[in-house]
This record gives sequence, C-alpha cells and structure tokens, in this order.
Amino acid sequence: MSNNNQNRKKNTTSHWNKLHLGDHSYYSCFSDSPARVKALVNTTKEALSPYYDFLNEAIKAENTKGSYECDWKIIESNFTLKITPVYAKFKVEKPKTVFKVLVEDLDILKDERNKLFFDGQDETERFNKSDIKIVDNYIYLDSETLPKDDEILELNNIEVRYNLENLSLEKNNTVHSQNKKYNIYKIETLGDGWNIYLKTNENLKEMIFDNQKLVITKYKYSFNSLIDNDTEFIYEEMANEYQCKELPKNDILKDEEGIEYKWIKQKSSKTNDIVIQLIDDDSNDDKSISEYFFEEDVKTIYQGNDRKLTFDIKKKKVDDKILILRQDWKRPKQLKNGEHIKIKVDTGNLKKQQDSIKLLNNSPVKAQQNLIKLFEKKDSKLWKDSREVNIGFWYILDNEDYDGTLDQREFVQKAIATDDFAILEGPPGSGKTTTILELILQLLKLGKKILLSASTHVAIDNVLERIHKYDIDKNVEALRIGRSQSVGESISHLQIDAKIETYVQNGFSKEMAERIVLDSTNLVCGTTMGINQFPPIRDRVSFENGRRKDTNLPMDTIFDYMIIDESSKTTFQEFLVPAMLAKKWILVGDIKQLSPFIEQSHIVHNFNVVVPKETQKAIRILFETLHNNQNPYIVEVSQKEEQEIKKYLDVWNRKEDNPYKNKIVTYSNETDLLKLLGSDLILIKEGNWKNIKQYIPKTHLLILKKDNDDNSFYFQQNYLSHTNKLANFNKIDYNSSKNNNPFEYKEYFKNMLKEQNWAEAIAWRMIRVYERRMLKNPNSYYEKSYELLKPVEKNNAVDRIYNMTLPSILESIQVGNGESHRNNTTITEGFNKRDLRQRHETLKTQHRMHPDISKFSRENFYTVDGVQALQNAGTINRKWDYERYDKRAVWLDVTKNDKSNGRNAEEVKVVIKELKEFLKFTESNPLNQDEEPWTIAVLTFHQAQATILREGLRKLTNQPNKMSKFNMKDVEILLYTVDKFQGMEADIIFISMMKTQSIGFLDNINRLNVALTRAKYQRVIVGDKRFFENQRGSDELKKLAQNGGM
Amino acid sequence: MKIELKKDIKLYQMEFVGEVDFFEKSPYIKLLQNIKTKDELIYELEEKKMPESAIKNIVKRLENLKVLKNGILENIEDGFPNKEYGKYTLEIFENDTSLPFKFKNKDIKREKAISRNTAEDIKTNKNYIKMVQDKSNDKFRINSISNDKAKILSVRTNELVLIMDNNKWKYRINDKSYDMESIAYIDLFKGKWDYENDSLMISFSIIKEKDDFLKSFKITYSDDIESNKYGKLKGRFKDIPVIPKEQYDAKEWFIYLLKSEIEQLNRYISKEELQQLWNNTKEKYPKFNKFELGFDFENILKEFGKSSKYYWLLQAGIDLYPFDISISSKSRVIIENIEDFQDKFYIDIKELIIVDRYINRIRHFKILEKVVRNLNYPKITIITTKIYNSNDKQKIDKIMSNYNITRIIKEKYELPHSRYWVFNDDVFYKVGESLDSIQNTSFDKYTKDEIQKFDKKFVELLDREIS
Repeated sequence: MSNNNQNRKKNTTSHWNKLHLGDHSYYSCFSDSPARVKALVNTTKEALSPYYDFLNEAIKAENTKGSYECDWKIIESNFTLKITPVYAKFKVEKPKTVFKVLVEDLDILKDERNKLFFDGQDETERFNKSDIKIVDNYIYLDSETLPKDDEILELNNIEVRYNLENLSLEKNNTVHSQNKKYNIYKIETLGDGWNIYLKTNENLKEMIFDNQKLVITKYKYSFNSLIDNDTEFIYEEMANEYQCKELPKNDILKDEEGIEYKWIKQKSSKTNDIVIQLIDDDSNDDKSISEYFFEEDVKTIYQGNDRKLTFDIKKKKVDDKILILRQDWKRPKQLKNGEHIKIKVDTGNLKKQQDSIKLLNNSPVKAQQNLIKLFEKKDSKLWKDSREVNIGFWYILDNEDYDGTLDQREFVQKAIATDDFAILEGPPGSGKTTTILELILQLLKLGKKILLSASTHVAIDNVLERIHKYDIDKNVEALRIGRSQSVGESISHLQIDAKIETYVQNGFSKEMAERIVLDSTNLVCGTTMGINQFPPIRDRVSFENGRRKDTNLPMDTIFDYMIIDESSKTTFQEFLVPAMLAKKWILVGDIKQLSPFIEQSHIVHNFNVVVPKETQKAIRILFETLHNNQNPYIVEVSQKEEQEIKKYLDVWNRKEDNPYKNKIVTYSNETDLLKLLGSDLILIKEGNWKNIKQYIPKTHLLILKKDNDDNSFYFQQNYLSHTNKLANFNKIDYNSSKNNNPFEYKEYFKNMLKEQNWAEAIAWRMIRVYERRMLKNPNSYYEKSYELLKPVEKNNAVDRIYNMTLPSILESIQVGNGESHRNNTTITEGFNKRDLRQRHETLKTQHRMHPDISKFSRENFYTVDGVQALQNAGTINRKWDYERYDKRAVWLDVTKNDKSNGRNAEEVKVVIKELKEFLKFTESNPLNQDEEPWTIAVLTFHQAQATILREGLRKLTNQPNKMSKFNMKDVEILLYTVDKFQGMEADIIFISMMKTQSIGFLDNINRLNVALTRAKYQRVIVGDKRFFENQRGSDELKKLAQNGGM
Repeated sequence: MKIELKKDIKLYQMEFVGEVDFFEKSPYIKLLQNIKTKDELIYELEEKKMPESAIKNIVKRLENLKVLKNGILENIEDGFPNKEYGKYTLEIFENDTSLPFKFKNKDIKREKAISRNTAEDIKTNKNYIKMVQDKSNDKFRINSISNDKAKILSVRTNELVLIMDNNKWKYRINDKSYDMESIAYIDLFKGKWDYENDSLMISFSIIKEKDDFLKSFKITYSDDIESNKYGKLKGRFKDIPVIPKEQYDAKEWFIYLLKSEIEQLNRYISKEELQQLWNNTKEKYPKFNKFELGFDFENILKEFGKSSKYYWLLQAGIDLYPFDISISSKSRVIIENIEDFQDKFYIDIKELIIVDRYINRIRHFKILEKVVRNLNYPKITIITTKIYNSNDKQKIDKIMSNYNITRIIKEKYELPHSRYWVFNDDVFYKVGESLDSIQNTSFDKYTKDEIQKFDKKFVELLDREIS
C-alpha cells in the first residue's frame, strides 16, 4: 500500500471520531442572542477539538502497545499463618412474619379469587386456592398486608381467626447448619435481624432455627494489630495469610478490641495464594511499568500471548509493589519462571477524558457555563467580578500573627467570593493544605458540596486525617473514593465500600446504603485518576435503568466546588473529567514543581497522523544530512518531498540564525557537475536514478528509496574513496567499523531516514524543551534541534500539541495554552490581569524547611523581579543536637567513580554510612521538635540508582521485601525517586545524584526544586561535586555544587 | 360495547432544556414509608447510627427534592423524585373546549444532544413556556426551564380519538394510546342511560325498522356529541346495549318479538300455545322484566289487528282445534311426602329423565338424592341449567357420581317453562312444582303427542338430546 493510500485510510477512519458542533439547544441556555449562541457553539468546538483529536491518537498509541509486561519475583517467608477469629460474626436476616388464617369450614374457599378483607385497614387481598399452603385448617398467606392489632378479618365475607408468628432469637439458642449444631455465643439485635457470634470458621449461608430456614451472611473480620502474651505479634499481611519470622507463643491472639483469634500454620502448598513483587526495568527513567499494574481498574494479570495462564489479583500493596494472586484451589497453577507477567493496556481513563470533552462540547449544562466561558471571546465583562465576602469565624487560620496567615485568609475569601475559578499558588511548605482545610470548612458551613482531588493518595489522606480535628460544627461528611488498599488506615472507614458496609450493618438495605452514602456526603475525595471510580463518573458510560448510556446525554453538576490540589501536575483534559461535576473550581499548586506527565508515545502517534508524511520526510532528510550527520549525500525524493524541502529552506533562509545558511542543496533539475560536486545534499527525482547516475558525482553517500540500491555505484565510490575521506562519515564508530566503506553505512543511514523517526526525534526533544522552559538560559542543543525539526508553517501541529498537551491546567488558565485563535479567549490567552488578581493568591511564607534548606530555591527559583516568594516563617523551629554537618544543607563529595550500568555504588555506601550515623543519633533522641519519631527520605533522580539504594536499605533494615517504606524501630526510612516524592516531606533527606558524566534530565529545574524542598531539618546531597561544578548543562546545578549544596 | 369519539386538536411538539424531576422507584420509598416528619426521620437515621453531619445532608437533600416540606414528609409511595437536567421534548395538545385533559402532557422524554439544529431554530414564545411549566403529573415535574425558552418543533392538527372499549377509556393520538379518566354515560347519552340495566333507553319507533337491533338489544350508530363539558365530538357507537324507553315502547317491542316467534312456528297456534310462547319470549329477553307485560289474549288479538297474518294464525288455531285448549291429563299423581315416590307411580322405574330449569343448587341435588333413593335408584338424566354457585360444584359432582346422574346443561331459554319427568322413555308427566317443593305437588300424565300440541319446545328438546 502506498503512503498516499495509508493517509487516506487514516483520514477516513478518524473522520467519524471527530468532534462535531454541539447542540444549540443546550447552548441556548447561556444567552438570549442566537448569534452569541452560534458563536459559542463554534468556539467551543474549535477550542476542544485539538484535545479531542490528541486523545484519539493517544488511545490508538496505547492500543498499539497491546499489553504492559513486568518482571517479578516470588515473596517467601519463614512461616505462613492463617489467622481467624475464634467466634465468627454473622448477620441473620429477619424472616417475614408468618401469617396463618384458621378456616373452620374449608368449603368457603373458592378455587379462584378468594377475598380476604382487612376490616380496620379497608384493604382486600385476593388469592387463588392453588397458591396457598393449607395445613390442618390453617391457610398460610404470603400477604403484603398484615393485620393490625385486633383487626377483624373476613374470608369470603365470613369472619375468620388468625395468627401472626414472629421469630425470636436469643443468646445460647442452638441453631443448625449443614447438619451441625452451633450455640449462639453472643447476639446483637438489629432493626432487620440480628448479629450473632458462632464458633466456626465456615462461611455459612443459611441456618435452621425453630424449623425455619434463615439466611445468614458472614462478616469480614479485620484487625490492625495482634497481641501475643502482652507483646505485639509481628507479622506481614499477605491477603488472607500472614507471614512472620517467629510463631506466636500463645494459641489465642487478641486484637485491639479484645476479640480473640486463633492461628494455624499453613503448609506451603500449591493451593496457597501467590505473592509476588514486581521488579521494574530501571534502565531508563520513563514511567515505571509496574505503576500500571497498580491502577484501580487492573484486576487480572496473565502470562504468554494467549492469556491462557491468567490470575485474578486478590490484593495489591502499592508501597511494596506486591501483588497477591488468587490461587484456584481446585486446579492450582503456577507462574512460569522467567516469563514476564502482563496486563492488557487499559485506555479507560483516556476514554473518560475524551468522553468529558465530547459531553461538554455536545451538551453543556447551565451550571457548566463557566467552563464554556473559557472558550468564549474575552472582553472585560466576560468574567463576573467577585462578591464581597466577610468571614466572621476562622476554624484554623485564627492566629493572624502567625506568618503567612493573612495571605491564606485572603485566598479563602477569594475562593468563596469567586463565581468561577480561584487559583492558589505557593511554594513547598507554605501551608497550601492548611488553606484548603480552612476553605473546605468554610464552604461546608455554607452548605456547599465539595469534590476534592489531588494527584496522590497521601495528599488526600492528609486533608482527611486533619479535617475532623477542626470540624467543631460537625459539618463534614467525607467520602473517600479509591480501593481500600490505597487508602490510609486512619481514614479507611471513610472509604466508599467500607462506608456502605457500615451502613448495611447498621440496618440499611444494600441498595439504600449505596444510595445514602452518596446522598449524605458533602466532601468527596479521590486522586485525579481515582476519582474516576466515583459512581456518577464511573457509571457515566453505561448507566443503570437504561438511562445515560451515551455521552450525548448531558452530565449535570453534583458539586458546588471542586478543589484540585497539585493542579500543576494535571493537564486540562485530566482536569475536565471531574471538573464537569462542579460549578466552581479551586486550583492549587506550584508551577515551579513538576509538570504533568505525558506519555511520549501519545505525542509520537499524534505527530505521525497530523503532520503530512512528506513534511516529516523532508525535515528529517535535512536535519540528518545537513545537521546531525554532516556528510555529502545523494537522496532520492518524491516531487512532494522536494517541494517540502524547498519550502522549509526558504523559510529558514529568511531567518538570521539559519544553521543551514552555508549548506548547498541542489534540486533534481540540477545538471551542472561542478555545482553538484560542491553540494552538501543532492536531491534526485524518484525513479530517475538509472538515467542520471553517470552524471552524478561519486563523492556522495547514496540513499535510494526502497531496494533500488546500486551496488555498482558503491563499488565505484569505494574505489575512489580513501579511508581519510570516509572519515567524514562521523556517525559511525571507527573502532567497530570493519572496513569503513559506504556499504556499511547504507543501512544505517537508510534506517535513520525512515519516516516514523521524525516523530520520535521531535517528541522526546519537545518534552525536554518543555521541561527546560524555566531555565534562565534555555538555549542549547535541545532547543536548537527542536526548532530545526519543527514544521515551518505558522500554527503548525507541533506547536499546537506542545501548547495544549504539556502544560498543566494551573499554568494554562493563567497564561493560556498559547494556541492562536481568531478571538482572544481565556483558554488561549489566560485570564486578564484584573480578573486574575481577583482570583489568584500566592502564599509566600514557608513553614517546612530550615532557612539553610530553603535558601537555594528561594534565590534561584522563587525570586521573580526581585520579589521573593519563598520567605521563611519566623516560627520555624528546627533545633537539634545533631552535629555531623556544619550546615543544614550540605554536599558530600563522592569522587571515587565506582560506576557501572548507570548506577553509582559509591554514593550508596556514603548514604548508608550517613544513615547509620543518624540512626545512632535517634537512639538517644527518638523524637523531633513536634514530638514525633524522625522520618528519613533517600531520594534519587534515577530508577537504576534507586534499585541499588534499595538493596542497601533492605540490608540495613533487614527487610528484604520492602520497596519504598522501611523502618528501623520507630524511624521511618523512605526511598523514592524525586518525581514520586512531590507533595511529601521528611525530617532529613539524602539525595543521591548518581551522575558523573552528563547531567541528563537534571537540567529540569522543577525536578531539582522538588528534590531540594523536601527536607525539614537537614538536606544532604551525595554526588560528584567537581563534575557538577564543571558541567555546562545547568547553571543552577553548577551553582548548587559550587555553594556546597546550599 | 365500543365508543369512539373524535375531534381535531392542535398538537404542539416542543423542546426545552431544563431540569425535570422524575418519580421513580427508589430505596428511599421503603426507608421513609413509616416516617411522617423531619424529627421522625432524624430519629430513624440516628437509630441507624448515622453521623450528625450525614443526617444534616440527607435532610437537606430531601428538602431540595421537596420530599420534605415544612418539616413534613410528602407522600412518595408512587415515586421518589430524581432530578435530571437535559433537553426534553414534550407534546401537549390544546383544545377550544374544556376537555378535562386540556393541555395534558402527552409524553416527556430526555433527548440526546444533536448537532443538526442551528441557532436560528431557537425561537421562543413565553406563552408556550407557561403551558409547559404548569404541567406535571405522577411521572414527572418540571422544575426549571433554562432561559424560559422552549422551542416549538411542530404545531400540527391531529385527530384526537377517545375510545371506550370494554368499559375502559383511553385516548389516542398518532397511533399512541394513553389512559384517561372515564366519561360518564349520563353525559355521553344526554340522560338517557339506564344504570340499572346498563343500557341506553330508546324509543321503539326509532329502531322499529332494525330487526337485528330489536332482537340483539344492541345498536350501532354514529352521532355528533356536544356537551358543555366535552365540546363537539364525532361519535361512533358500536353495540350499545339498549332497553325500551317507556312502557308503550316495551309493549310494541315485545309484540314485535312475539310476532317473530309466531312466524318461526309458521302454523296455526292455540291460545295456550300462545301463552307459552309469551312466557318463553319474556324469559328470552330479560330486559322486559322492567316492564309490566301481562298475558291478555283479547288484547293481543287487538294489537295484532284483524288484517295481520298473526291474527289469523291465532284465530284459525282456535277455529281448527276448538278443544285443544282443553287437553287435559288422563291421570294425575298427587305427591304429599317424599316416601310417596316409592309406590304412587305403580311402575318399575328404571330410567328417569327430568327436564327442569332449576336443578342447579346443592339443595336441589340433596332433594334429588332423596327422590332417587325412594325410586330405588333408577338411571337418571337431568336436563337443566348450569350450576348457580360454583362453590356447590364439588358437592354436586359428588352426588351425581354417587347416583350415576347424567346432566345435560342448556341455556335457560332453551328449556321449556314447564317441568317434565319421563319414566322409562315413554311415560310423560308434567310436574306442578320444581324440586324445592317436589314432596307436595301433582304429576299430570300425558302422551308425547299430547305434549307436542301444547309444548313443542319440550318434545323437540327431548328428541334432540335423548334420541
């Protein structure tokens, strides 16, 4: 199939999945003017289409991958125990009241339509004789109506006597189930039944009492810790089993509520569940594949290509990257050693983003007017002025003498006053979370409903753990969305499933519990991705009762406010999914920290579709031949490719900084041998080689299309050439070259020029350029080569994708996404200054870091136009007696270069040594200034380095299966890559720099800023100081090294 | 009976974007079924250990949904409101007259977004909005209409058909039917409805030409209806039950039917035969029960008029069989108690056929049981009507099987007015009373030929059923 055909096919298949103009009826609720309605429909579609199209290709890119695969190992331990309660708790459903009517003369019963009249209630029940049970002149009725006290009943107009029998259950009653007797050990009476305790481990489903069959359900049991003879029994939980190094001393263990448990040692057998730990490929610093395995929707894994060997995931332990796989006890199976486990690629989240865009475009509801305004032509009246708000009572921010409190209060007022957006920016430790807490309490006091979302579970749990302390008005009813395993223990009771179960236990029906959990909450919390599991979002695609199966039905708002923490890490399209549910949006974050993560493959896929193949090829030919591998070339091109090359060079020739200005390119109509000889690049017409080969100089490297390679030409060239001439082919490693002849290079250069390589070449540079945008002087190889690879048209697809997909919502709402648009709109240009001022607040005072630690970020990242946005609060107290370091931010120089496979073992040794020293200190000083045990974090920028740091920590703590959370007595030691540690903090931080030859992505100051701002008491950088002092990739790193890490 | 009433109406199909409450099945209905006030609700939720903050939110939600109003819970048994914002289409119809369903919502449904329409399509008319906004029923309630805008998709003149079938009223537009409240017959038939007999009262003169109407007591006709309440409607009335309007209508009607009976015999008949025919006809058409129709031979002759063939059929009968009216029994058996059956007939009764309309209750069979015992268990066949009370069936069946009784069930009008007992297929008695008084009555003996003369119906029945 020719390229043209391929293009055509792609165009037709993607055509149906384009965004169309929205429904005017829905838009008509935004304005009385038909012209304005029409304009709104158009601008909305125009603004949203690029996001929609980008997601289209991103979904295709994911589908192309097919599956994610990951290495793994089996976790084993000394003993595996099964621990079960001595008495199991069952819920007994109350049976229906038995209603018996005495019929003395059965002749009064008719075959059909017998009439039972309830005199007091004036109700009549009808029944056929065949439908009732008759025993000894009693008829048993399954009637909707039951007689009230002393009510007269008439059967076919004849008064009858009746009995109502209710079951009663008491302690010490004997019940039967599966032919066994059980004594009720304890009983609790509920509205619709009883909770009873029986001595059994069976999962009984029914029992017989008083000749009646009763439905029973066993409760799940749970404990947080177990006591064995007054000491805590140490175990590691693995699904239903518990692993331990030593067996308990007592037969019976007790939990914190005194409930007794017994344990049985499990023999290791084939029927045990399989516990595995995932091992990421750490050879690059892309997103860890294992993360995909821990996403909420992933429920099974498999091996092989045919998915025959499939395991259900019973439990996930994200921190330790552990999966517990359910064993099929009837047909036990084992994982194949040495073979990766896989999951199918899930595009659910991307599709949800696309659905949201479609929904907003097609059928915006009135409450989403302020989202639609983002796409509307800006004028001074577009955004409403904020109202006056006075807050009489502060829940948390009650001390205005405390540094920074006034800024925090100012924001809370702005957020309540706004009609649409409010934006809170603040450096690390500046009290963003506290401000969010105060805002939530104030909004809930006003009766508002809030959706809170943040990028990490920890950030959410942090808010929820603290909020109840301040909720003196009892206004907060929080609901935590997300799998129970990912929710912190202290707030696990707020997790949606746990809450439903509690309501069921308290007497609500399951259906009511599911409903009332949603209706009773006013604070719904989840991670940016996890919030997709919130039932109204999750069920959006296929809704129950047949309604809302299609995204064409509108999504009404549920919340008054959505607060999104770390919105600097959230893209517009991610933001839109939960944002559709709210009327106002509070964006919190820090654009000086990390930006959203974007999959490179999604960008590549998009480039391949939106940039014409000829353009891709033309740019690629010029870039490789004239810039990247400067040799003389002859390249066979199509007519269109030649036109593209001409067009491209024409534009560049008009620029002053044209890097091709000394390069000579001759086109296919050139016949002058001298000119050809002097060219850097000779273009020849497709299919014309044989006719012109005798006129073409043999001094150039020939690249023909397809397999038309002309060996005779190469032989001649080889004959003419000498080694020293060929030295020009500078991309080949001379040492590994066999004979340094053009044959050898032919395949190399041909592959280099394959079309798809253009997209890859520009995609990774684009991400790097974006990451480097905040450098003081971002003008190096990356920026230059990125510019050269870009198409030369204005408003080209590359610029569009850069503008739309890389920035966070926090950034684009302030400065716009930079798209050019006929009209100035908020999404393209950002808010006007005046509008922004009413909505925006920056917190400037940090309360986390010792001043030595905050100094570098303050001076280098947070000082804009002489204004410092990272001031130290006067109240910071980081006193300690640890005298190992002379300053609170130090650089420990590691010069010994013991480096292999991109790992730096010497730095690990130093980190472990320093850790040991600090741990010694904690023995005599167990608590920090806040009277809490010390926390230590070891950070590195690179996954490979994290791997060997982990090995060191496992050895140090004797915890061979831990991944990122270790502990030594009460001291918690965390190990993370910097990217994963955003939003977290520790008392003392060790940063292993690893790099000794090139700095790689350490030139990203956002990443560096995150790394430098995590420590409260001490920051220790471990690295090759001289290398960082001398490298030229990052002025900031150079300065940091020169200043001794401060 | 079927009635169709038609009229042209204006049907507006309109679209609006707004919020609608749907009343649906919900677990709340069960939760709230025994709760009447806000305080009771709070108590119930506290009992279920719900936290204070959650209870506040539930109360607020129910107040928002107007389920809880001024501290009192509304009746939600038929559906719990569920708010949904969206684009809806609604069909309403308008009428000049005061139909009870004027402006009634025909249908409401949420529409998917479509991108076909343009801004120019959106035209507003606040009067229509008013029409729409006031409407609600037990399935939905319109809470708000965005920007007070409804778009008229179409205004068509449609035929509205009100249909009464099987006593249920529906209305139909564009092949879709909807339930409606019944229209009272008194309104529909302008006061001419006889509720006791469920029939339209009609003068004989109006339908005297329509033999099928007169015999079936049902008429089919078309008529325009106009009343203050319903306005003008084109009506089609099918199989409407009718009853004579006045006494004289009844008389004329009855005579008409009697003539028809005489005509069927197509021979000269005696006075006694005529009386039998008179009685049979009265029984055949129970609608005459309402009226006084005593047998008066002279008067009948007068009614027929001397020139009519019916007069001559009767008069000739008297002339030809002057003694016929005095056909009397050759012998009579008087029964005074049940034991009399043992010996008063002087015959060994092997088979007994009883033709009597009223052997259809358990008490008749209990008496029959005694008779059978006294007659020394002959084979019995009874020709009678169906069991009156289905409750008796089982017991009757038991007696029938015990005494080997064969029963032939006929409609009442198919059976002769008089009662006959036939012994061994050739001894015929006309019996004075039914089984209820059988122990105190007379049995008159006739030959079959004799009976043929005054009760042909019986003989024919017997020949048909017993041969």
